[in-house]
Order: sequence, then structure tokens, then C-alpha cells
Amino acid sequence: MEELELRPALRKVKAPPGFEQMVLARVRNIKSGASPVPGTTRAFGLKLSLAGGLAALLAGFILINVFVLQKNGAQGDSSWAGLGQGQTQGRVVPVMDSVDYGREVRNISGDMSAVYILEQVSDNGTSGNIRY
Amino acid sequence: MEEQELQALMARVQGGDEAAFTLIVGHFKDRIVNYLYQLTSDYQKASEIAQETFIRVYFKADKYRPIAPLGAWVYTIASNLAKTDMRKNRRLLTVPLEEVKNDLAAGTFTGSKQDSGLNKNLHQALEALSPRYRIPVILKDVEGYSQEEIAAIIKKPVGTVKARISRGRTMLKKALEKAANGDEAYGLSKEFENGRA
Repeated sequence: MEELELRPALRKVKAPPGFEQMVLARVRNIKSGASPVPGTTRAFGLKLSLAGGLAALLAGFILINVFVLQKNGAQGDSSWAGLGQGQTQGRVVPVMDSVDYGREVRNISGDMSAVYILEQVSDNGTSGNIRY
Repeated sequence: MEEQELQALMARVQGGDEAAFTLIVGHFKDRIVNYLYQLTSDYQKASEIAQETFIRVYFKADKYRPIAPLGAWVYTIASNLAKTDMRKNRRLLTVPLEEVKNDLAAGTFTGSKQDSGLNKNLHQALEALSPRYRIPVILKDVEGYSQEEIAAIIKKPVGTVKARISRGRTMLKKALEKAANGDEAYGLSKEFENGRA
């Protein structure tokens, strides 16, 4: 690497007289609370903006939850209620309910007035009509 | 003052000792003011940034870890403050074309150390250099730091420091040669700002 002879070419300067006293006076001024500690104002500003940003994000999240998601929830409820009134809103609500038919039949088998309705369940069908 | 003495003084500053702090300021003040003057080409500004540097040394003393020399830490603070200032005043660093022409006529790079125009030309060439090249070049060629020490000061790998010094020197040399040939430095400054020279 080629060296550059900058040091002798550039004018050298020294600190102004009373430099230490000036620095010390400023340090005491800051310590007494008359002026802020350098570097802390910016850090405080950054912290404040970060806190503000997070607060805005949280507020947005809460607003979305309260106004948008809850509204959707209310729509879901009304469609659920509508099913009972014979209304169809194009919304399918799957209902899965396991029933033990063996027990159902057994439970009512002692009742003489029980009527059994038999329905064709096979796709192939039977040759004759089913009579009840 | 030996490094061990400086470390001991710094330990006292961490405890709020103002006398120890005054000794540290006295030890580094001339070097820091000169370094900042070479960076900013403005004595008043250099003095103000130097004051700011030492105030931070005092109030951030608890952040100092004696793994690196105290001087490197002080230079890091000074470099960062100077860089912030240069960024703030980037527009003010632009030298009017007419002024540059007059300065070039006043004296050019002839290799003579006594040439009064050389100092001016050098400062103009340094000013035209982007801070990323200016800082390592000044730390190496004016302050006499090693590449490893500069890497610790500017917190970059040694390879990066080496490349920046080499590139900065090339740009500086080109600027001085062009100034010697009487070329307009305005175009140069534009090239350097973009780091393309």
C-alpha cells in the first residue's frame, strides 16, 4: 500500500487555551441538571417513538378485534339462528352427532305403540315396493 | 502517559472523579482537536465536537471496557460525532466552483512541504472525500494508527479498513494530481462523493 505524506503537509492545530475548564464547566452544568446529558435526548426520542408505534399497533389490533371480528361473529350467530327458521344463507353448518341406533331401538322396543318406519338405504334398490 | 495509568484514571472517572477526568482531557485534547480539525477543516467546529467528545467520555464512562486502549474509545466517540456532524452539514461542505478555481490558482501540489497551497488543496481533497474513506485515511496517515487499531476505532474488519485506506489514498492522490494540472476540482468532488474515483 502506497504511503501518503499527509502528516507534514497538513497544518497541525492544538486545543484552545482553557479547554479542560470549558469541558469541566459543561460537565458540571449537565450534572446540576441545567442541561440534558448528551446522547440521552435522542435515545429518549427513539424509545418514545418505539413505545408510540407499539401502542398504535396494539390499538389497531384491539379495534380490529372489536369492530371487524366481532361483527363477523354476530353474522355467524344470525345465520345459525336462521337455520332454525328455515332460512338459508348459503352457509353450511356441519353437525356431527353420533347416535347408537341399537340402543334407541331397544329403548322403545317394549312400547307396543312403537311404529318402525323402514326406508330403503341401498342404492341398488329392491325388486319390489316396500310396504309399511 | 502509559496505557495502565490511563486505565486507572478511567476507573476513577467511572466513580465520578473530576480530577482524573481533567487529566484524561489534558492527555487527549490536542490529538482529538487536531484529528477533528483534519476531518472537518473547521477549527471552531473541531473544538466544539472535541468538547462534546469529552463530555460523552465522562457521562458514558461506565460503558467503557478496558479491553481496548482508552485512546481508541475516545477516537471512536470523536469519529462518530464528526460523522453525524458531517452528515448534518453535507450541503455546507460543498465548495463553490469559483472558490475552488481561485484556490487552485493560489497553489498546487508540487511535492514541496512548504507549499502553502498544498495544505489548502489537501483539505479540499479531504473534504471532497466521503467520510467512509476520509476517517481511515486520516487515522492512518495523519494520526499514525495501525490498521488493526483503526478497525477497532471504526468497528469494521481489518480487510475493510485496508481497502478503504487504499481507495481513499488513490482518490486523494488523483485529486491532488488533477489540482496540480489545473483541472476543475468540482467534478472530482462529485466523483468522490459517490466514491467512484
